[in-house]
Amino acid sequence: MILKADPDKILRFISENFELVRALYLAQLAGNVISREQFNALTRHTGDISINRLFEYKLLTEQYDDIRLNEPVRAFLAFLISEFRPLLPSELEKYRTSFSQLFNAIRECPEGEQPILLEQLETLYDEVQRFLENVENNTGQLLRETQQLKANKDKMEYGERIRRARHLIEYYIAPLNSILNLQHSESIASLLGELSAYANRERLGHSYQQARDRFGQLHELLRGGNDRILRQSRILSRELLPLIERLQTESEILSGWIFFLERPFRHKVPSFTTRSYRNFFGSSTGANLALFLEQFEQRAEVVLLQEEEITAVDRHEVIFDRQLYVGSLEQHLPVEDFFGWCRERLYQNEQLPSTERFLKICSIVFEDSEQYEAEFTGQRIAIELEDFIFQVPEVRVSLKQGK
Amino acid sequence: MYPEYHREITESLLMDARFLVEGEPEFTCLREHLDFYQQFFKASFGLSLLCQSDYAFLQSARDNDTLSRDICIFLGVLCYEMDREGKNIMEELGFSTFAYEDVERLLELSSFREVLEATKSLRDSSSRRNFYHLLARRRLIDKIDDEVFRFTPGHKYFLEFARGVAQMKGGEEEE
Repeated sequence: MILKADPDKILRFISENFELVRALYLAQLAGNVISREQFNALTRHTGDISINRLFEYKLLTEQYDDIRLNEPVRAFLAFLISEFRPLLPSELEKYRTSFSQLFNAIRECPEGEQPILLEQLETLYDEVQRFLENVENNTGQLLRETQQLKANKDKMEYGERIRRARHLIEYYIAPLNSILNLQHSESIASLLGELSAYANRERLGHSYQQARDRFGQLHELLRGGNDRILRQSRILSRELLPLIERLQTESEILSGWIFFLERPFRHKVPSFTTRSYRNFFGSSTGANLALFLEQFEQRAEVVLLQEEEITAVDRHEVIFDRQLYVGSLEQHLPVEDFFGWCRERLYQNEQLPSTERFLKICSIVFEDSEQYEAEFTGQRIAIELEDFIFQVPEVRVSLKQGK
Repeated sequence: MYPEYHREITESLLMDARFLVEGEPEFTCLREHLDFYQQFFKASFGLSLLCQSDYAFLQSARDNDTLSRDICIFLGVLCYEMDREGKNIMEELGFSTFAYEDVERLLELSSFREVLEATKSLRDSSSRRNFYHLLARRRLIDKIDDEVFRFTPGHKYFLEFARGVAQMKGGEEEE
């Protein structure tokens, strides 16, 4: 009991010294207790009277050498400042025990014991209320911590970020999720569902009026509570878990890159893909191909040389005397079988009768086609030479009319 | 007897050595005949086919691949710089487009400049231009136009590599 002041005076004191009170609260939040040195540092500019009042008004208590905020004051400040330490899920688990014990007591309460029933209902109501508030504060706090971690305001190392994220998932978020999971029969949320169904029946069916009212209140709270739990569970599964998992993955990727970039040319790298031709061409394909082409180049040169030799020999020996044949043809015109005539001339005039020479003789008519007229009989005859047999048409050649 | 896109699949994976990624009909076809292709590439060429939910490629037997190293350096520096600018790297790489100009600026000012300068294909902006062409041919990026590109799902292969490095390191430290 606070002997030395009225409640409103204490509130005024808190309000006047709020910055100090807030600093004390945050110090306790960070270190669980406020050490004497911390306290001295924080109250360096505070007058002795105020320091004494902190204790006189029972805002602070001394524990051996450390100092703590009185629990109701701490809770009140937590509510005001809205910054908490996230509750370990086991702190929430205790509600399961109190809920089920109270629930059993209420169900088994003998007829005629109304006063205790009403008290139990009241306690249960308070417990549920506290549980819901704690859950909401907890998700809010976890979300804030995760977002801070994401923004990395503290410039934390990636490795530290991963550890912190893993810690939050493993010890806070995942267990909280299972407490709030309505699908899970063992979860506190489903126990509250059971409670709500029971309260719903009793608020209509209980024989005692006041108990019916209390059951009604409890049912209302639980019905709203269900929505609140759903909302928190949705924040967890839709926002918090993906956020923190991504944060963890991302930090892992980044710290991996940093390890890699510390010695980028010596670190092993993932095996990637390479373009592959080896299955279609061997390593010696290029050399083989060059060799292959080379042989064609040489052969072409040889052929060229031979041709030159042959024509040279021919030219030296006999020159084709075109005029001789033209004259001879004009004497014999009209010629009934032109190609036969050509063959006859060939063997008469040439020392070395050849196919080439034969064709040359034939050509005199076609080269001067303006002078001669050719009539095709439609027959074919065979002209036999040294190494060829020509199947040629039978042609009658005469001088063109009018020449 | 062969799947519909057999020729395209073989050409892309084997001869072009590029990623097949989700959205390409060849990729869908490959996934539908995954067992066949795994056997096919193993039996015919001795190569293993790596196929994830949204990308696939043929793993070469080489474990010291210059291109792979260059990509790791490029992505590593890019991720680091993006994180420094407060961006969500996975979201950016997965869904955003990148202007060459912005990437160039990040690399130019990077604290890993020394590493970039020691890497032949990332040394300066003209080398990097060739490098981007190469990445596009290997289908690690899609060119949207002359100024902008986007990463294909293939980049995840390299992010997984980085994650593996961190996890391995983490494991070593815990031991």
